[in-house]
Amino acid sequence: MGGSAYLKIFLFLLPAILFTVIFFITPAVITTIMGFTNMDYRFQWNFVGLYNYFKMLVDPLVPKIILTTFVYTFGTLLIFNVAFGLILAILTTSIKEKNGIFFRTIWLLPRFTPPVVYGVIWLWILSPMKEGLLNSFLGYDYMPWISNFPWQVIIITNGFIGASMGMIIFASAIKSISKDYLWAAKVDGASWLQEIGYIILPMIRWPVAFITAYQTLSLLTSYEYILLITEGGPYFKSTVWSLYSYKVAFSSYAGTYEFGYGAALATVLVIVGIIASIFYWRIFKFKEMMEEPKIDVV
Amino acid sequence: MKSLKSLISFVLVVIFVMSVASFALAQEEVKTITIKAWTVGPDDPSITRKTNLEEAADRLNKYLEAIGANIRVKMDATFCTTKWADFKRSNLLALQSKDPEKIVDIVITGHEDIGPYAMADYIIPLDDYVAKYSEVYEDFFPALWNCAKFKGEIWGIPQDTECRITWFRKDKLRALGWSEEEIENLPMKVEKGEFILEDLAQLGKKMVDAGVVEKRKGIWHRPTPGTDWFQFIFSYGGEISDPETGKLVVDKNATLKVLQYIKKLVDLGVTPGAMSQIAWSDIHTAWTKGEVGIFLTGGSWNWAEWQRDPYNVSEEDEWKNIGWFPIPAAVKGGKPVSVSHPIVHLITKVSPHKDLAFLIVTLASSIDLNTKHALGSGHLAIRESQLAFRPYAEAKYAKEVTKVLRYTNFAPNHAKAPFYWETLFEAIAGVETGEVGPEEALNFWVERMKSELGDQVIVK
Repeated sequence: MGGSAYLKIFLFLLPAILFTVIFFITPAVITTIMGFTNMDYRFQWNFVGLYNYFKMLVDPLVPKIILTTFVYTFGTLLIFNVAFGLILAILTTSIKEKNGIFFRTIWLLPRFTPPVVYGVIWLWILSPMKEGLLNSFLGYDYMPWISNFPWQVIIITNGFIGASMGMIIFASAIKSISKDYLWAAKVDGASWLQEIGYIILPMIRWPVAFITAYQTLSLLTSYEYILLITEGGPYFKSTVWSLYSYKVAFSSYAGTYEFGYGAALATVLVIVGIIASIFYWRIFKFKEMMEEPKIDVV
Repeated sequence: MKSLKSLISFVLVVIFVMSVASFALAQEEVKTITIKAWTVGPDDPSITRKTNLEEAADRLNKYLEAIGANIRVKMDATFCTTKWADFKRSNLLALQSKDPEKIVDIVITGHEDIGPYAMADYIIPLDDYVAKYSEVYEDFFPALWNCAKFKGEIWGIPQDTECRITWFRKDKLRALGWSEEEIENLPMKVEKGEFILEDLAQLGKKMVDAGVVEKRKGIWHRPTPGTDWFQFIFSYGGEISDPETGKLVVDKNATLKVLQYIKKLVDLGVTPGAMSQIAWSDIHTAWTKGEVGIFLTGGSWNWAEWQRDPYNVSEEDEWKNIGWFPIPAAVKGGKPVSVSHPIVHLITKVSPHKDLAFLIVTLASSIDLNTKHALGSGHLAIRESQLAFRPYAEAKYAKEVTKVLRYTNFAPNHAKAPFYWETLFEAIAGVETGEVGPEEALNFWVERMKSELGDQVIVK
């Protein structure tokens, strides 16, 4: 490619680059710098070197939070965002198109619902007293669902939303598979499960890899539904890293916020995200996916 | 003739125009200054925190007009009914900008904000102003001034106070077979130290065992952190701050007993382990419907709150079925305890009209206006003379509940005090849900306090 070709590419990419720099890179850089200060509610940039990172090493909550973050991220990812999304995509593309669209729309509803409304609905469902929807349905006088099953609660409540993204991507990928393969398989006597195992899954491996990578990063930084439904409790059992960072920075009752420490915690998340991206890039061979096709069908 | 008529018309028009112009000019000379304020409930009846400022501005305008002054004030106040944390967060984000366009002149908030705000230079000391209007401020209760001080200076004007109390349902005691005399004497027994925390737990159990309330509805409490939880530490003989150094104190022995007491309430089946997951509105609904026997960490303002939507309990029914006493002592013969959380008016550093803002605060502190707030929202008097003011003196509830103030304590004006009560509640909720035992919760909490406060905390 000549110089003018690179210039054209650059100009085409410029809006996206500007957007990324302003809204993603700049906040990450500011957060990283803030992580080296002891900034509190007075918003003063007092640099304290690595103090916040040493504090993290002795913070008694950190080990609990790492475990919860791991369970939440990979539990939601594997059970809902990938597996359940895949099941929904396969099922809704295996039935009549109209019915498939109807069921996919239903599964998109949680995503359309405002987070606070979604949170309040779950709080009503999981209320520990007999007035709670689940308890009244099961006939329990008292069952503290959130206390007894905090990990399950945050995985399910987030998973119901997260599954819809995988479902949409996978469904469109399945629909783009040439029907010839499926007809040929049918002619050869393949069962429905064999069609899935030998044709559909191998042919949608790129979308599956993409959703796995994308949703891992998304889950690592998401906490809004946890904040609304469990508030990270009971006793930090459902506090994930991003929620802890938010609470340290913004959630003090009387405004003695620790922006410096919160920023340092968030910076760790940025670093983990970058490492995870590189890991996925290599393990899923995304470079291959991005390459120009070896054969072009005209 | 025609020209004379024209001349007269011309003269009349000129006179009219001049009159209008001079009137308009005269009007222009009166300048209107907007004074802005952030106020907070979050309980709805405390709307008088806002309306009293508006009423004070009206009064000030009346005086200004009477003396022919060429300025008027316009009060532009907001009233927050969401959560304290939301209110404080939005205030802080505006205050840090130090932009007069974004910041108000008057902030009404909890006294615990004085230390952090003063240190950040967001507010001004008010000693000179208070001295200027000493005839108003000399009869404020001295304890309230202590809460409004930071490093020896006055930074806030007390707006109201309250007391935290234990509510009990008289109808449930009647159902247990208690006589009216026994019921009416219960608060006295608490004050004498004859009815202690252990008796309270057993009373809750009796209610459950007798079936007058359902299981886990014997004793409920607030589901959130707050200064209320300090009461239990005081009750078990502990302290939360060192008067000499001003440092916060972690009293391990007293706190362990508090955590053990909370566990006992759950083990006895009188309190749900998931108490911290029940919404405030559900708690008030269950309480006002008479489903719960004892409400352990209530406040004097609840009385007014329950009379309004959506609970709508008449005051008559409240007197008939609801009673109160301070948090009982932990040992026989001990004194009960309470905690108050005074609210204060603050004047911001960037306010371009500090004098006017303070004048409005002074007028809003008038006996009649403050009494209107106290009686309407279930808060208590801030001035000695209010006690003799007829509407206050004749208000049975205000008069009776004010007696609890003799047992009251205050949260320390320490910047990290909120961290103290938030993490203390984490331990309480952890023990209550059964996630952690009292000893483990205590040790973990002590570690957190040490890690966060360093040499600013004394562990005993």
